[in-house]
Amino acid sequence: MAPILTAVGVPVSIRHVSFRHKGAEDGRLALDDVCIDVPAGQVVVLCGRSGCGKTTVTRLVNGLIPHFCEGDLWGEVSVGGIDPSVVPITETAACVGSVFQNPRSQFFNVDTTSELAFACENMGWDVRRIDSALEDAVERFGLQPLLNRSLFRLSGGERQKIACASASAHCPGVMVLDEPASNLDMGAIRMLSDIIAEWKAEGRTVIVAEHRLGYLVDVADRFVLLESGRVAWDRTSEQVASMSDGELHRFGLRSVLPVRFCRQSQTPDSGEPDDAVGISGIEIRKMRFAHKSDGGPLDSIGGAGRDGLASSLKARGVDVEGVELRAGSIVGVVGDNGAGKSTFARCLCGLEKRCDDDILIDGAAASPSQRKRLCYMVMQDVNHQLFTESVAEEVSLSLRGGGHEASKEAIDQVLSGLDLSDLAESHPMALSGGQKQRVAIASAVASGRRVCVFDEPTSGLDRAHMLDTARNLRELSNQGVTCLVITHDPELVACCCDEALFLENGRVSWSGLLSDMEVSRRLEEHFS
Amino acid sequence: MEAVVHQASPSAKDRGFWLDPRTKIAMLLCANVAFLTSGYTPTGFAIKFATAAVLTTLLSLAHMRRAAVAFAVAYLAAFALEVANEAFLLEALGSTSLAAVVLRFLTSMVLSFFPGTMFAYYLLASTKVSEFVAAFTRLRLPEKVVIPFAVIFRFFPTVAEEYRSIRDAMQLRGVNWKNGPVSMVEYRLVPLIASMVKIGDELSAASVTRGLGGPAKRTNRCVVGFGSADAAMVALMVVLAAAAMTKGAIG
Amino acid sequence: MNQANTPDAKKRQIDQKRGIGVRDLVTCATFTVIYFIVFFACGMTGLVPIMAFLFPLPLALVSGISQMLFYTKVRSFGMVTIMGALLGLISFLMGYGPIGLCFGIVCGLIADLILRAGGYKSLKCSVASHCVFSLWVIGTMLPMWILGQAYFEPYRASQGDAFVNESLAYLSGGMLVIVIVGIIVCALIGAAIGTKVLRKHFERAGIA
Repeated sequence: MAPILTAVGVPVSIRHVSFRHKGAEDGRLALDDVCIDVPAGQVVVLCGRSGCGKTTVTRLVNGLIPHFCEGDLWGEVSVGGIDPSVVPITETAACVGSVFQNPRSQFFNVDTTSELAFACENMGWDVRRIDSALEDAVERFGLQPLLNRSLFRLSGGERQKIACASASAHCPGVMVLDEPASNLDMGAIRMLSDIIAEWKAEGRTVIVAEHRLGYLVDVADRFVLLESGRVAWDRTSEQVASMSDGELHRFGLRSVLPVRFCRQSQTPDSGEPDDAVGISGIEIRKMRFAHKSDGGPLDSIGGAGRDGLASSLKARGVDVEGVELRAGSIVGVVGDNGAGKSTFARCLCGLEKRCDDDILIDGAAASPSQRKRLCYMVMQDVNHQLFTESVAEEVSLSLRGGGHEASKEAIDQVLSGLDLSDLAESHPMALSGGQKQRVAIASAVASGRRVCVFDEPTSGLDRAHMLDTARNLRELSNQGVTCLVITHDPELVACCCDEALFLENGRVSWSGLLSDMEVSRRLEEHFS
Repeated sequence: MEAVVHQASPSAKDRGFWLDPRTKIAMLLCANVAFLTSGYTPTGFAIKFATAAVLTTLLSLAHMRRAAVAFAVAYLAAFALEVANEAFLLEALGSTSLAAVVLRFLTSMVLSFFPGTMFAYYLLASTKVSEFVAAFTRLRLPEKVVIPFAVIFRFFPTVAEEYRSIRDAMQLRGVNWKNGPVSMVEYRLVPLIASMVKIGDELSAASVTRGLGGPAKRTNRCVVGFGSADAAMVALMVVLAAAAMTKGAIG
Repeated sequence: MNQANTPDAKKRQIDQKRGIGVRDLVTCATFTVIYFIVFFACGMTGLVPIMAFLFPLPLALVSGISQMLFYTKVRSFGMVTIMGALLGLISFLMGYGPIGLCFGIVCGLIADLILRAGGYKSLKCSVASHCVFSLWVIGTMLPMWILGQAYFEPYRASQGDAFVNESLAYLSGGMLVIVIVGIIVCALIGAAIGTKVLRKHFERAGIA
């Protein structure tokens, strides 16, 4: 007889807590006299601008502060009677399950089933008890198709689902989520919302720190706004749902209601947009590409290479033809994960050599190797594309690559154009996410690219930073660079894109200007 | 519900031909001895071929048929080349010429070293990380070695992912060998190290919140244990290794 | 400290756990993987006959970059030993024989002792540690030396005396000394490069 496993929700209370990170600039407090009480079984959302302290609160609850992130701590934390700042973090782990932002870095094992059992194994449960916990998790979250798979062959959404199931399999009474939806598409976000609802139904206490609030309104009980480490307000979900977009934006929050795309064209002659007259930036006459099904030798090490199932990450070739984009336009490339958006971008940038294509850039035919010099991609993880020891050197490297002389004036011109002059001597890796993105853009500008592709530039950004990215895109487009933005962020599309391109199964199912009623209706449908 | 559990943890019966990781490690050792000491006499070749046959069988039983075929073909080709070497090639090329040295080096690599590497590939590709962990725990290796060992296996595919992104980024930037070999190493290694350190930090945070490193004695869902197949395979390999050590050196 | 910034509530005393924790183990694993990638890349040069014996030289040189960063992260005794043991274990599983495992542990232990002598802060000790640690590779090659005679003797019939004598000459003690000296020299240069990269990138990027 398998032992019965149930999670019992426990209350969480944070009383007069202040925290200062070790080595924080001018002794700034990350949290300043914060009091939050969460009764057992409630779902509470922590929201606010980047750096407002919401992640810090989640770390107080799961004990990462002060056991993992060092600093000075004042006040009392209690999770069902235990104090995570006193007991060892591994003891806290038994009653607090944590899910983090990045689906790629939070799993320990190579295969899904071991990952689900991981926490239970660490607690020293016997095998029968672990098996029944697994069985329970599989049933609750519908994980049957994901069992015994390599985690490296799963999509971000699937990985996050495994992370949620793995964090809750050992039946902790409190679940803590730190921006879990940052890297997910719409389908995966709906899945996440269902998982939270399931936890709530079980009676667990759930604390979510999040920028994207839309998916939480139905399931959450309360929203707590933090501003510079202090609780600004604490409202019920109904109150938040009735707040207007303008009000939310004033607090630095993302919209709660589905975004409206319908708007007047911003060009002065707001009648028919004359795309026939506009200069062609990119013309894709043909683009065909199919992935070979291999994972490389390193993937198979550790017995994880051979999962027979075709994963959602596989087999997403592209087959696109007859797409024409105006020079200097900003095009939102949307669609679910696995629709082939990234492959499309890679083919466009000339990174896939085996792509069978016929593409014109600025009216001239461009082969893949030419496109490598004409197109640039700002990757989701910008860290990968910053190589040198200073921002100025980064720009200079691009100028040299473009055949120009890397004169001081040229560098300064590029830097001042992107508001980076003050950071010229900083190390690119020491900058904030938004600044890194600007450095990457600067290097694209310096090398005279005509097309710039952004791969999910606003994942995990708050409203202010999202607007920064939108401004950067506008700046590029004013210089005549055609921008493509792969994104799951409806607000970004609404505030800066001129056109939209919807991909499905590697094909363009529809595209058009945002001022077109039909296009905006379809976008609203996709993002609802 | 029973069916669910079975799928989550295949028992010894329904995982087909299965060997304990410890058996595989012992076999790897024996195979190394057999290949390296058997020499190039007819007896030596017989032992080499017997060991290679065992390896091919193991590979195909572990559903790595393509690797098995590739290995068998490469091995036979190298043997044919070796015979040709002996028969006329070395003489034709002149036994001290560069071509002859390279040829000799190649055939002896494939005949004596390559099978060991192939065996290691079999060991690593056919064993789940959790099986290694279970086996090492049974061998009483300290947890401070077993935990990072598991992390290493989780990191190899991560390195591959990260490296692909960095390579793409370099192509997009137009950075290539023209920038000099030092820059090439620097531009590859520095972002790789930086992102690995970041992933490592996030991974350790996630692991401790899942209770890793706690006072409880870790259990392991993965069952390892010896069966008749293990005994038979080890016996076979020990015989081959012993034969190679006695016969090979004398012959 | 700014008085206005200090909260009224009682400040909590937090005793940080000593010894090697999960984070340190993951750090060991991270840098072992990076070292191993470099090891593998250098091992590839072994396809050129002479490099089969000389690949530890570029290894000691390039691994200096990651190792110097690793030593800044070593906070407690035993981390380098664990790394040595891991490298030895992997090379053992890859068919390089068990001697590499012993060498990995011993070299790691000595490197740890040197680092501790410098209080985990001294640059000189880090450089010395890297030199000693780089010598572990000898363990993976030693079977060739020890078995040298028995190993190449059977070739005499098939490959001719010239080949065997030539190979044995390579394997003579002289070659071993050359390789050891070469490793130490390359490790010194590697450590210098590593320190430079540390200053140029990792410290400024806030990773070290």
